[in-house]
Amino acid sequence: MAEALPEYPDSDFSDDEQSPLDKSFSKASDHVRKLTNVLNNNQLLELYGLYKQGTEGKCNIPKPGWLDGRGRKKWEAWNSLRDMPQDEAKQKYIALVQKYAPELTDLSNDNELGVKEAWVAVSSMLKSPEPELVHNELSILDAARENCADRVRELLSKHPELRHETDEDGLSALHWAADRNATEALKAALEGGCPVDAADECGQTALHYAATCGHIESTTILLKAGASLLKDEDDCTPLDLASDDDIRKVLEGAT
Amino acid sequence: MEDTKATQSSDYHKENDEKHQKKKSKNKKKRSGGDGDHGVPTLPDGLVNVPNSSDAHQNISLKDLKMAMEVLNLQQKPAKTTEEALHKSYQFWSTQPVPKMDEKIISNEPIEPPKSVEDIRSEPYTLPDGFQWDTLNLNEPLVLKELYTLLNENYVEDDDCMFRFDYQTDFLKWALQPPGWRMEWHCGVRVVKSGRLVGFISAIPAQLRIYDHVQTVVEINFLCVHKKLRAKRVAPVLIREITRRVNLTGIFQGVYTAGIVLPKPIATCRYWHRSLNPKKLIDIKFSHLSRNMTMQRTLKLFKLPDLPKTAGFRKMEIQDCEKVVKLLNDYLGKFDLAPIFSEDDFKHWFLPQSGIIDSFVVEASDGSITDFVSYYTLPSTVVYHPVHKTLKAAYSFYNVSTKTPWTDLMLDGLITAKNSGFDVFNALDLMENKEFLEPLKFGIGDGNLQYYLYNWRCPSMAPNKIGLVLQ
Repeated sequence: MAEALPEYPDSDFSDDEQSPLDKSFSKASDHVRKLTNVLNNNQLLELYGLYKQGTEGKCNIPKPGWLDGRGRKKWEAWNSLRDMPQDEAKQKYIALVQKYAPELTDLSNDNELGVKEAWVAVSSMLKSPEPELVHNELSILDAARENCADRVRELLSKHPELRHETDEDGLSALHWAADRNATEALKAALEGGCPVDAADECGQTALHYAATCGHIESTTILLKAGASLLKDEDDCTPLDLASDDDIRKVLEGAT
Repeated sequence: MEDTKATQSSDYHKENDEKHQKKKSKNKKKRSGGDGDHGVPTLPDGLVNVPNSSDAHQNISLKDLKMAMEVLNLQQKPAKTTEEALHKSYQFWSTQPVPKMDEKIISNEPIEPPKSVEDIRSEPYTLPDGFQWDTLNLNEPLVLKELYTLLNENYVEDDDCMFRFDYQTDFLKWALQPPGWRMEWHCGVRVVKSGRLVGFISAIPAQLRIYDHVQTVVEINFLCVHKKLRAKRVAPVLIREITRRVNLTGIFQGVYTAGIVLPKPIATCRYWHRSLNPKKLIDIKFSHLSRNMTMQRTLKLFKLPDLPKTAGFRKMEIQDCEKVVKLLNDYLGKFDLAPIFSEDDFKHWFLPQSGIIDSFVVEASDGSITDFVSYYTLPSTVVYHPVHKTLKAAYSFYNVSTKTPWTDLMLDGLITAKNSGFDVFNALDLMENKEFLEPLKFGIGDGNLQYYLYNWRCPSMAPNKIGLVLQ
């Protein structure tokens, strides 16, 4: 039926307006010029990548030669975004600028209570604000949860005893990474020597978490690292708790 | 009559002029960065003559000026768009029979008396050049599909949004063709040249009780203007035109809801959301995992029993309607704003239709119906996500509890929704819903829904006094 509809020319609309997203995006990029002195290189590179992705789409230039260190870094920041849609890049860019410059409040339409104001808007769950995380101050458990593999690696090499660190419920870095399907951090934690079969207060291993949450990648990584299908205190193995058939298949393949 | 027309068209021109001027000055700002810029004439040779400067004859190259102004531009405060929008819409609403924002109201009455037919403008309002009215025949599948496309792409106007309503065609017919519907109240705007549908507004008839007064009203819904047309101020013309068409049938009151604050809400309700498929909701960022909460515990928290457990809980059937419409109308007597359903209305709105409306009853052992649950299906498009394209949401419609406790009744409703593949169950905090929202683990939403009456003034109401749900 849809194919039967005529294609309409865009010329139906003479005064083409900038979309609200584009307006916010250009306001945000204007503001970045004022921030260049206070941001570090990594922050600027991230912004650069998102800006290029937002304005030009997927990285379309060859990687600069090894003499051009700066150019290579910029290229990597852009290229790492791969197929991210332009609008998504713009949104991330705006969010990032807002994070660095909280005084730029009118970029979004949300008022201070986080309540949407529009004729028609799809309501979604209200997000309760949480304090900002500072990357180089993350604990091993935070770093695992946030999928900050570099930080996990750094902490485990400096303080090898952290591989046994748990929270009050007995969750280790592996549990948190498995729970969030934070695959990079999970690999880093395993490489750093976190015991793969460590159990929490309820006798559950990281593999229990990955299986209940239906995280295929994490389940696979844990099995590859030699995780066993242990029973928790309710006598359930990860297989008993598997969220769906895909996970079950992966687990059965390992036994 | 002629008066209205004149006001309307001069309004339109005024708005247009204002906009034009604004645009001009915006352009100027771009060029000159300028607060306190009073129109510096640009000479054709690319030089600027600065007439009021003490050094009147000094020529500055445009390039220099541009550079200087670019620096200024950076310090310039961006316009407060929300405020502007509000101001603009008030400009329109101040011409309409709605209470003023600061009005203290103790009466329950129309704002304007009914008009006689000869006092109602007989010809449609004037649209901007290049656009024309078209009454939509929704029984025509292609026309219905056009409306579907317009709403799907433009109904939620926020371009940064993550979710957009995806009203299905069958749903639109259900929402727009209840008993007493009229084709002329499915009011479209098309581009003359291409025929493209770019605007829509609808009305459907209803009996509405406002405190102790019963009034025939229309429910106004689906006001939608194509994104690229928003600057042309078509929405006010659509509102005026649907009002005219409704007035011609002898109805002078309307009810509508919106996410924004306009003059003047009779109630402010809030959406609440009950996760049925928490992992997907978190994936698509409909909901959020707080840092100290695990996904594993979250999944456990929202897990539901496999089957409803209330004895006598079953799908509603046609032979139940006579009993249930009475049950519902009696129940709605509790509230200050509530519809009154005829049996035909009831059958239309509540007989289960797959993918549109689900209804359940609790039948007691003596065959009487004691409780009732209903919800409608309204999916949303997930705007950016590599895997999930659609959010399947159930919206609580009308529920009655006389014997089964609210939490037991609605828990069974949640179970049926989960088993039908819904991702989330939404409910407003109106009627007696607060009885079950928190106990059943609903989380508060980020969207308000304001309730409005057109050409009626009455004291405002608390959400738990509202007994009306629109689509």
